[in-house]
Amino acid sequence: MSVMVVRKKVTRKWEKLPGRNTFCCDGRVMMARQKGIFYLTLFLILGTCTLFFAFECRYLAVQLSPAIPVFAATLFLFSMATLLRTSFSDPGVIPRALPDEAAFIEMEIEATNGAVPQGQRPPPRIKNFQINNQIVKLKYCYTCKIFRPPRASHCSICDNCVERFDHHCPWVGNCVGKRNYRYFYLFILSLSLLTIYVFAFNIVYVALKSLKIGFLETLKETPGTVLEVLICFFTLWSVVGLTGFHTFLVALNQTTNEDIKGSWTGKNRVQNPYSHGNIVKNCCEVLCGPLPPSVLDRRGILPLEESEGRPPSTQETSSSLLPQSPAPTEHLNSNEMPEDSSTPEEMPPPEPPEPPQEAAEAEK
Amino acid sequence: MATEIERQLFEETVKTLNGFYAEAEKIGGSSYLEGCLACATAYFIFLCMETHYEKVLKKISRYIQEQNEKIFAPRGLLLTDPVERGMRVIEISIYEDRCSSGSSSSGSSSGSGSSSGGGGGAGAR
Repeated sequence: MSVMVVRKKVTRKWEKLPGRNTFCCDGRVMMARQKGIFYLTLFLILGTCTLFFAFECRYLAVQLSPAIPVFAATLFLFSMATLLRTSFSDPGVIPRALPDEAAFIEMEIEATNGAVPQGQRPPPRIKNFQINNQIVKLKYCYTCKIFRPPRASHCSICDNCVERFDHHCPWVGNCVGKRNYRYFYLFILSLSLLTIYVFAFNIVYVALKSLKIGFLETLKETPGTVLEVLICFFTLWSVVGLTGFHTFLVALNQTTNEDIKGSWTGKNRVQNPYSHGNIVKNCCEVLCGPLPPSVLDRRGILPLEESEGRPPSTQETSSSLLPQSPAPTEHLNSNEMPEDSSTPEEMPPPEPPEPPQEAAEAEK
Repeated sequence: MATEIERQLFEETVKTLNGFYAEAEKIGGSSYLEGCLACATAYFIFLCMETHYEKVLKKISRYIQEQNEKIFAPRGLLLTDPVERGMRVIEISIYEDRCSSGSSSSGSSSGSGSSSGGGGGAGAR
């Protein structure tokens, strides 16, 4: 009897995720589709700092202090690390509803609103929840087919719902949300400091050298200085301003999205319930608070049944991608959930008969 | 589902879960320390260390497995960890017996799921 070893290529979940994201390193890195401006950011930072270390630092380290390039290097490494963290991590994407849940909710919506004619946008569906004595309105996302948690929003560029959605930043090539907001803030903060630092020491360098060999000679010797000063000057106005704005948001525990929409400002609106009222506490929570892990499970392995066309199973990992047919549902009492007082329970249609063990076998 | 499980048992499970989630999201001395230490190392420490949140999530999945084995499975129910539903809902699957012999063997049992909306699994905010 001969032994045959068959190597099967595993399909990981990130390959089948909906939404407009690109994944690298076998699902470890997650970014938006358009990365051009991100490459520009990288180029500007790397280019300016390379010029600074190559020319100005050599002179200043000797003339003034070797601590100058050391501190610049620390700032540079920190801002690169935070930039890459912001760009490559999952901002807090909420996975889309499984077909069962989606079908049931859509049926419920149709029952309430009646059939919407083709081409017309259905009216927004809002569910009220009571959490800790406060009424929270959850909006329904027609793309992701979920009721969005509070502070979540749908990013049209990445086509995902993101928790605590701040904004989509093309400069970092990713959305900024719950999981990467602190990295984004630290990036713009360290970049501001780096820009100010490089700008200041370029001026110092030009001043010192001009005393010895004259202004024009200095510029002829190190033409990179002019480029650096220009880049730093324009970067200063934008990045420092942005840092100031985000410092304001962090102090109030607000997101850019909420600030633009004016969710917590205005006469008849509720005050921001997420703010502790104390600037220090808000800063601590936003920047040093607990960091939830990604719920996307990009590197999970899809069961082989997917590719082999076997009948669908009840295993949660595979059911999101398999066809399920809707079936009659029933409403349950709202008494089941002690925390929520005003919602009926939903029951998605029955799943096809298949024990979970078969799918678990395929995963091994 | 009220017929399948006693309300009190279910409430207790949900309350325990909410307690775990509150512990994971607790902001206080230890979480600040973890955050500041991570920031000081430019977040490289997360490559080797597990965060407090992840540790609590592991505790939660062990608890849910335990509850499924002890309480829910004997009643033909299955609780799905909210982490697998994006921390939005806590999903309860009800296994119905359609076979006339009454046994829940592989070919004949069908499952139906019920999910509660919104805040159940996500903890107190």
